[in-house]
Amino acid sequence: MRLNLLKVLNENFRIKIFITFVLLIFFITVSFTSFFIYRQTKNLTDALIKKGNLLAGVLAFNSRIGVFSENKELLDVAAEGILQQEGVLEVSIFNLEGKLLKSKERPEIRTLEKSIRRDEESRRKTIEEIIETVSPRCLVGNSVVEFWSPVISDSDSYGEASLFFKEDLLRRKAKVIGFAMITEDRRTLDKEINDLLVKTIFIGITFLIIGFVITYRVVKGITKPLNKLIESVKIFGTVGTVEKFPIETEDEIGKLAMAFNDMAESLKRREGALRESEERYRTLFTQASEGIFILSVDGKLVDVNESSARMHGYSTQEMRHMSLKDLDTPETFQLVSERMHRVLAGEAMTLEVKHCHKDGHVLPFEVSVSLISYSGESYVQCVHRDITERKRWEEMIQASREQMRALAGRLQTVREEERTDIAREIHDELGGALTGMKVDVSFLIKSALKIENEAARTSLIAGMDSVTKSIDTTIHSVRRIAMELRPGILDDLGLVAALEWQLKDFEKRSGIRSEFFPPVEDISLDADLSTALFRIFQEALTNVVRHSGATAVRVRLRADADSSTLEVEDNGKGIEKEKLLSLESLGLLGMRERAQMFGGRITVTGTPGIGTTVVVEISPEKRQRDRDQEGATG
Amino acid sequence: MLRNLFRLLIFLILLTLCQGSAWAGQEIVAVQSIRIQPYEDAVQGFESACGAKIKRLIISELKGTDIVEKINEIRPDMILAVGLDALSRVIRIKDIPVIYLMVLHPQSILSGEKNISGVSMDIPQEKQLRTLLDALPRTKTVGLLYAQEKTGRLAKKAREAAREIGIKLLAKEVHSTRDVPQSIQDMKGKIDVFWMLPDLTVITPETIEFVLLFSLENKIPILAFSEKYVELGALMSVGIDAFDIGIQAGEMAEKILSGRDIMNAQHVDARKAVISINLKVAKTLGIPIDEKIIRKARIIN
Repeated sequence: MRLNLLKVLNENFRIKIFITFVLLIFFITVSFTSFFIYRQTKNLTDALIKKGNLLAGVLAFNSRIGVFSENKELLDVAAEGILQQEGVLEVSIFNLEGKLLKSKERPEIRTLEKSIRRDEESRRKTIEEIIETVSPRCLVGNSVVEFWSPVISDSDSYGEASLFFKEDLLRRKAKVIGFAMITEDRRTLDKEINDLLVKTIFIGITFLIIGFVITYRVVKGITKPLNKLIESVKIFGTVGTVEKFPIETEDEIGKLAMAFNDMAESLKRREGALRESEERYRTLFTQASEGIFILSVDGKLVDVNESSARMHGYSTQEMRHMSLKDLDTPETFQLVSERMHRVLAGEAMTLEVKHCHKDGHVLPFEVSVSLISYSGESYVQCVHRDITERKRWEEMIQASREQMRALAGRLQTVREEERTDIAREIHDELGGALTGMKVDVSFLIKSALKIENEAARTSLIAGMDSVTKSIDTTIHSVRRIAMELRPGILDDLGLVAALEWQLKDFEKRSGIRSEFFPPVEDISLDADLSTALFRIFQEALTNVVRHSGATAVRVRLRADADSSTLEVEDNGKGIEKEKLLSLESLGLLGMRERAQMFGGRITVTGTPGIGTTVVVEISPEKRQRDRDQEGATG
Repeated sequence: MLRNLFRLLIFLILLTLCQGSAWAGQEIVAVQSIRIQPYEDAVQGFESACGAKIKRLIISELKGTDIVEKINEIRPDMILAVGLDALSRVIRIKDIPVIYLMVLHPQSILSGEKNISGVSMDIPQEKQLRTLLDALPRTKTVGLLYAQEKTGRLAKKAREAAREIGIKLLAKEVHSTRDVPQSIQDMKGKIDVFWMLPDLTVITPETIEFVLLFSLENKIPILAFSEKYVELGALMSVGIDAFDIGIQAGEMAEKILSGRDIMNAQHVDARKAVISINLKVAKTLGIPIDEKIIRKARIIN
């Protein structure tokens, strides 16, 4: 019952406001009535006491001569006059000793209780108090009130001068010579208070009822249009459209109705726009050539378009009962959790996945994934494109590129072999021939010494020396050409010695100071790799001479079981980023190609004003794996 | 002859100078109980008549001071006692001449002191009755109340004056103030005028109110001794002139200080009477007042 009442109060604004106001009015009425009754009762009581004191005072004043002379006849008029006053039941006059000089009373006083009437002792006590304070006293009983007032005389003469003169200094001291007492009927006061109480309560109840009615009318006036408005809002919420709410007033309710109408109009417009937007989206969604499906955050397919269903070999109905796990290959699904986290964190991503077709074959897709919000919930939108064809073309391109790279490698190998052969032939054949020619020329010189004609001998020997020198020069050139074509030291002493020789030769020819830091331990690389590294090294040094403007070059070769690293660092102007990516940088391209042939990679970094660093990293293990794969794939 | 006249003139001038210088060196201490205007008027009157230097001692302002000791310290040539209270204090001094004034019944405290003289506030009863008759010629019977110990002497004088003038005086003795209302009630219908004597037993604030009410209720005019009662409702009063009493006393002092009346006490009544009439009361009581007396009187409205 209590809960129901609270529920009603909580749900019904009208009752809540009504009860609040009613309580407020009740509180105000009760407070005001109580205060009014209290004040009026006090005022009436004060007025009664004031009147009683006044009458007692008048009686005391009028009794002065009578009390002074203890003349009862003189007191008679004064007492009778006071007794005629309304509410006065008894009049008594006493002398200073408390002796009753005059007493008059009305007959009805005999019917009243005499609780206040004092015995001689208490009367004496009252008299003593009045003498001490020289002020009136009021004694309140149940049905009567006694008012005592001292009868004061100026009888203490200042002297005979006071008989003649009226100066203030000659005034005599007041002296109590007796007491006047009147008894008033308290029932008059009680009756007045009761009348007041009844009237006040009646006024209070009337005010309360009027307050209730006004409150009810006001609350109804407020809540009626509000309830209508609530009904309209409900209808609007249910149907989505509602007729304009009539605006009857210009107060807050009218303004609320106006605001509601504006809101309804605005919502209607927005809803139309939203509907159009949704229709456009739906059209786009269903008619898109790309597959689109919407995932819940737990990976279930919420919606899917025709293209997506067609790509996967299912109907849209079938797919709406599937989850991502049903579509993804196991390898792709392994990545779903991590990708979902990123998407839910707000990251939009494009990635390649592999889905299983209904018939079991695997389909590659490129998927654009983004987080969308709908009706306050988060969903993952996946727009996917079948990239089977693209993948095939990529594979073909990759294969072609591999073939090209293999061909290039082969060409390099062949070239190196050719250069080796040419170098050997030049060195062996041409060198041998030239050496033979030089021997022959030596013999010819020896033979020429035997010529007696000195002039002829001298001329011939000189010619022979010239030939010998030409042969030496030619031999030297032949050796150089052979060395350039294929340094024999690379084949004979290995990469480290070849690099060291090449660097010294570079320093000698270019004048650029060089340092070489060989590996701590001996390394053993196959001939092709050594050749590739050597040629890359040669190209790097060529770039230093041609482009860097460096004054020093530092070369490090490191090798371990897994990889070999060659680092060429100069102190030149530093290569620019644009040149790194330029198609015209054929030297760098060749270096990369050579490195890639051995599964390696080249990193070129340049810092303006500091220099350029070329790092070649080649992993024989990786190269071996690639070779093994090539062997496996045939 | 001319020579003798010249010698006489020189002697008189010297005598005047000697007398003037003697007054100028003499000092009078004026003792008064309180500082009220009638007393001040009396002292001023005294000063106007006597050229001696006057030193004032106001008893109410000298709390706790023994006036006699104070006077003995000063040792004046004369003491002026203003009022009964002052006279009762300086009465112990026997070796300095005392002049009193503004005292109603000096005989009540004096017992034949040789050094005390003065002017009482009494106005001769005959003078009062004659004044009454001037104002109210139809007066046949005058009533008065008195307490023997206070105004018995005045009542006696009144009787004598009434007999002298030929009107009837109904004088009734009261023994206490409580007797006053009843005694005056008893005079109702028997008197034409009520004569109020300066009697502290008869005249109290309560009784005066009663007497005045009695006067109005019974249309019996009151002859009072002070203008104060005329203002309250008495028809007329024959009272003193304080300034003139001061002059009267000053003249007496002058004689004493000049050595002519030293230690020869004189007690005189006030010589000047001031008549006051309340015309409103006269109108209320329906009593016509003669224009001649109105011209001589001080009119209270």
